[in-house]
Amino acid sequence: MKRFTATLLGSALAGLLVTAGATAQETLKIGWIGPLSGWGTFGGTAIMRGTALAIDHINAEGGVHGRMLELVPRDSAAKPEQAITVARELIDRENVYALIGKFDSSSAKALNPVIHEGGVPMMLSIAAATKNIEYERDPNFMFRTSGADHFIAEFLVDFAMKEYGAEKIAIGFEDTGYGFGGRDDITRALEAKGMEPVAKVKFSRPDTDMTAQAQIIKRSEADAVILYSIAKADAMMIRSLNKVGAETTVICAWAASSPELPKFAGPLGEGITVMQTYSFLDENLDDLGKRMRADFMAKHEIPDPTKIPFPAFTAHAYDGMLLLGAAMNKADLSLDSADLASDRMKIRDALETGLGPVQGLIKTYDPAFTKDNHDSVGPSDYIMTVWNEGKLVPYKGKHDWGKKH
Amino acid sequence: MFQATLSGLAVGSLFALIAVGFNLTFIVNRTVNFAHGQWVAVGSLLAFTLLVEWQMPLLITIIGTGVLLGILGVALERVGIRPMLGHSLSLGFIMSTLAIGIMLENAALWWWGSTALFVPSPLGEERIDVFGAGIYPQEAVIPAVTALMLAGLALLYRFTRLGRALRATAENPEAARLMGIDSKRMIGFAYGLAGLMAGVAGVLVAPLTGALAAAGAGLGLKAFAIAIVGGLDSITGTLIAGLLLGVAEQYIALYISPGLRDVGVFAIVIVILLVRPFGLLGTREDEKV
Repeated sequence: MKRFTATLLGSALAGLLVTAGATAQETLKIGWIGPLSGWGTFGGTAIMRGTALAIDHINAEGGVHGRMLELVPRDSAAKPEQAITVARELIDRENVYALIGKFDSSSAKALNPVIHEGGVPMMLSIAAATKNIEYERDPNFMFRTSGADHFIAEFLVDFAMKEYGAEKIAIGFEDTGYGFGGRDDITRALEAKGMEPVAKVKFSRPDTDMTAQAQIIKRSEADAVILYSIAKADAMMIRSLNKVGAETTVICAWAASSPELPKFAGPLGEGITVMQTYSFLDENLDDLGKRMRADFMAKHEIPDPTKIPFPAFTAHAYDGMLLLGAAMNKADLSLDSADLASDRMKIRDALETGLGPVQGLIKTYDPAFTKDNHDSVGPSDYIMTVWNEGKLVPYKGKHDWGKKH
Repeated sequence: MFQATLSGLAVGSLFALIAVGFNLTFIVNRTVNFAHGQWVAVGSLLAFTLLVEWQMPLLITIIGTGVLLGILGVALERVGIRPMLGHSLSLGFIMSTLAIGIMLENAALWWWGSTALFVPSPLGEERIDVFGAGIYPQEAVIPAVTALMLAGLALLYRFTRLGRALRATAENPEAARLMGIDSKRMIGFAYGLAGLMAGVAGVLVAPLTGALAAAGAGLGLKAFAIAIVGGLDSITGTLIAGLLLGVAEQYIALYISPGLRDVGVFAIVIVILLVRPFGLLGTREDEKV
């Protein structure tokens, strides 16, 4: 009996020690929200992988205030209502310090009330719709390393005019928040140049036929058409344009960086230009880019850098997480669960006020954000890429568009 | 105009082929598989597995997909239709076919995933020029396959013993049974035939839009509208309605607006049904009192 009691006491003591050790090692949770199922799976996975690798790198360099970061991913299936549900769970039950992720703009916009009620800063890696950042909110908890549609539209119009001398520009867009937003932003960008779109055609992702839309573009005699849709629908439109014999130059917004474009468009995908912000195939890749590329390929067993899907999405997510990590390190956090609300506010404040210089893949952020600008990536950070033998490579053209200007 | 007509006929004949699946079963026992679209989607996913993953020849793909969905059709009738028809006004089959369709779609999502799978056209991707208008070989072959399938059905109904048995069951199941026809088996056969048609339609649609587990509802709804407009008990009516709405859809998108395409098409559907409540060639059934 005595021996049994001693063993029991010993076990209890050992248990206590283990628990105390665990508390000292407790991780700081970062919630990730994005599609890991449904139509956004490929893009969502790229964003999550970029975020996860940034966390690996932050942890390898000592973490945040000596504590390791832990990514808690949740699938939103690109549905706003599901994004809201998982965000609430991450905020209230997982007690995350900050949120990161997204892919689809409709979910990103829907998260605004949730994160502001919860007082949790969120970094949008990819969600380009202009209205995803609601500047009327003060304090504003939403930040973004994604490209923004109003800048993307200006860049695409500029490219069409300077590279191809296009004077007649048409718009093809899908019937979603993303497509409608793109249509409006391109129309505004054209108006700023004293032009208007010669045709605006809408299509749906599951359309079995886009012949009529292609005919309208052909009839408009457009020199170039800018497509604002997911890659598969872009590819269907490219096929339809070829079918009706339209000789219009096709320029795509960045969702066409998915490998689905060359797959579904076949040989017609060759030479299609796509706006991007980052390429792992850049000849002058810096040291951080090389390290990220090597670690990413090793982690996901990717044999060849041309096979990294959605390179820009991965890079935006990586940079966003680096910025979050830097803000957490800069903020004077108590790291006591009782002070979680105040720690979350401190991270937000650190993001907004003079964060930098932080070296990222896309650029060195300094400052990353200001009160009036929660977008850290702008038009000067954009590049043009082109599909070439199934690889998305920097596009040189007349003005070396593959380099940042 | 010619381009729109050409594309309209291709799309229209595809939807007519899908819609015939509703006719086949409605004719024999006044029921339809409300998840017929999901069956077509599964057909396109099976085409992906056979043609792309297993590198099977096209003919084997068509036969394999058709036979597999045919067997599923027979099973559906046995499990989801027959037990639900206790009374002439029983509507349980609506729920049971929808439920089985949802189960099928979710199983397909689990097995094949939720993204569109690329199925290359076995006929190549070279644009064919037809008097200045363009068409891809895959689109061009659809009206031919539809014509072949429907001609085959007409021959079956008119000239074979099986066809006569099917028609007799449609006319009066009780009388058919007294004449020695196993009308229950005939109904099962009709469901098998509808499944087979769904499989063939799936193989045809896969190279056009990619194989997608979630595509079923959209395909099924449009096809159902076509079957209703044509007349649920008339295969010829369905073919006419399919071609008519396929071409109308193209004209509306081209000359009015792509955004108003579905508004226009469904407006036409409603107008036709106001004028002919039983569809273009559907027969009016007077209730015997």
